[in-house]
Amino acid sequence: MKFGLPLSIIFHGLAVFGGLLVLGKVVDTSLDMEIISLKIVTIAKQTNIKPTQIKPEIPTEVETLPKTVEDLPIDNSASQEDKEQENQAQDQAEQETATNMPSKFSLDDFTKMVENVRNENPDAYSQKELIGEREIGERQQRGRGEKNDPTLNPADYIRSKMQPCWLIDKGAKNYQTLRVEIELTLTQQGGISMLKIANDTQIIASSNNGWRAARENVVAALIECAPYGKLKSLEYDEWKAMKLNFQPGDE
Amino acid sequence: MRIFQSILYKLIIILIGACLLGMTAHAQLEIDITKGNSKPTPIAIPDFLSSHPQTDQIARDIARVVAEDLERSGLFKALDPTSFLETQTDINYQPRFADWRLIKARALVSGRIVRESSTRLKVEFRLWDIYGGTQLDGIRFATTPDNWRRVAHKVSDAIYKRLTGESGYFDSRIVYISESGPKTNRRKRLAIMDQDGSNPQFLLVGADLVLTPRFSPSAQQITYLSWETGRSQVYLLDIESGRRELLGNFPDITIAPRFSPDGKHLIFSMVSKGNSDIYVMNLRSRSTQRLTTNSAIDVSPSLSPDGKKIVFNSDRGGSPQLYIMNADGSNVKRISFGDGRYTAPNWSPRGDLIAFTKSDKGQFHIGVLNAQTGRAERILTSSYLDEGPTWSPNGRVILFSRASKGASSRSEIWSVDLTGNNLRKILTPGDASDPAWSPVLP
Repeated sequence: MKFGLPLSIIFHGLAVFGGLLVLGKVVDTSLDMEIISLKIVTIAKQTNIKPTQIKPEIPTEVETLPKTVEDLPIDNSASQEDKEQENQAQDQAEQETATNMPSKFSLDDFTKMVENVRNENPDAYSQKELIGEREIGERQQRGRGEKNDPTLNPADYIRSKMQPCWLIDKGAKNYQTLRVEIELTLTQQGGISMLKIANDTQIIASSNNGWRAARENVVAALIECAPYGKLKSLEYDEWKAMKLNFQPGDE
Repeated sequence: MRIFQSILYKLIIILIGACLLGMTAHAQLEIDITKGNSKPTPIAIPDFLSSHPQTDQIARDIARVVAEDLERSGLFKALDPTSFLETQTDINYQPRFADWRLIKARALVSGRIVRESSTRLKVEFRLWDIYGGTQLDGIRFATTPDNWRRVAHKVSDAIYKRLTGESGYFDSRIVYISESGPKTNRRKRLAIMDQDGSNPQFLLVGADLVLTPRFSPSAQQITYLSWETGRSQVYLLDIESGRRELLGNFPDITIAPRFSPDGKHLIFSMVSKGNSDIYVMNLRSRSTQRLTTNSAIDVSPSLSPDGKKIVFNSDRGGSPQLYIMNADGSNVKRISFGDGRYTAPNWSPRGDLIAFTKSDKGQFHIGVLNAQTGRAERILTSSYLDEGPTWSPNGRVILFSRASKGASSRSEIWSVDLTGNNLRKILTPGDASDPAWSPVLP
């Protein structure tokens, strides 16, 4: 009697869940979804990473030196007229500013003034699209260590690791059709613990002997390139077993 | 009721288990890898071991020729012997694979020569898979000391076959036209050499103008054109016996004879009343059958390996292009559609490709296209004058003639593989042209 109620709840729960699965309409697990693995990003309590500060870039080389004042041709008559015009303009601006300034602070007046300023040059205050500008955060990524690289993608890593090791015989007959499927199990250190040719039956049965040679090239490449140590920065369950499909693509 | 519940519960548990298994299977990482590289396979070929001082040099020479053969294919790179960490003293012991892995060798050839008498040698080798840790092949040859070079080619063929899956071509010959004398009075003689350019020798003593030699499938006979009688006639020459035969005393000019893959027929062009057409001759009955009747110039026929199709060159479309027809002359269709002029087609022994000469914008090229579709044209070489492609017995390499420009120009024989990256010159004693590759020697 003591276990009756919990057992009843468990079995009824299972029955409901199972019923839903059997009916198959409500819970559809066969939906074609892209699975994106998300990792929990933890923040350490203490850090020794100094805040980065982006300083304005200083040009290292001056290609053409600007002319100094002494080098410029002197025309005294012109400069005299310019000076007089400049003084007049400055006096006028000071008078205008003095008349525009409110004698006492008023929020309405201030708002009106801001609007006037904006209306005078609307382009200067509109939002600009940052085309060709440096991405925010680019500077911060560079400072991180390899091991903490959050962008390590096991597929990209394996592909880049295999490229120098996998020798493709491009003169073999129909070489682009010679697909070799490998089931690979790795140790926690990234070494190979099991390597199986998944489509070996197909390869052996084929009349194209080049396929067998392609298979041996793939196996040799996998052994030569091992260990795959960088994967250690990821969860072992994520990469301990994988299926690799080798098939030469278009150039 | 209880039985029904029990069955239902079991079903539910099985379903849940199956779902969990399915989820686990979905979670396995699957990666498609499409990019590798075309670098040659590193292979270690130490000098063969010798049991007698008189065979020491042969042991070194065999290893050298094997290394040269494999490197010339473009698929292998013989590693520097100074990098070897292990010195084998007996080929019957398994090598230390770890030592060979350190120098990045993918395969190891260990061989030895046993002198059985002054006129008899035993040459044996083992081919090891370094990363697989297994023996891939092991063969023993019995021969005479002066035949060591051919044994080396046989060893190369066996290694090539085991590592690429395709037959080797090193134990084969090249027949070609040896050219000498001034341009205005060129002397062209029939000559033969090994596929690597060694052992060159003339086949005919006369000074008659000889052209377009082609091997029979048995590699024992050669058909060629000669002006011995004052006009172009087709001859048959047996290499071993030196016996010659005139094949049909045609009143008209015959061009470019070539054997059928079964060796029972000869296919060629004949010019009659200003029109060139393609004919086939039964070598047993000597009866001749005309295959094309078009008013255009139809020349350079070449049969497919199965003998069912013929590729030839015709200007029936306005410019020289490549056409395919059935072996009886029916169902003609054009297969080349690119710019320029296509000539000298040659069907690959593998059956998948057709090699051709192409001239376009002042340059000559050797190229290949798909034999079935006529598409996927690939140009492999370009120069002032590249012409007359001929296939290696395994359909992986093409030989051709190359001539340079100018008064001091030379005619040479070159080879290129199907990637177009492995372009090599075949060393000949003098000028050479119009090569034809033999099948692998029996």
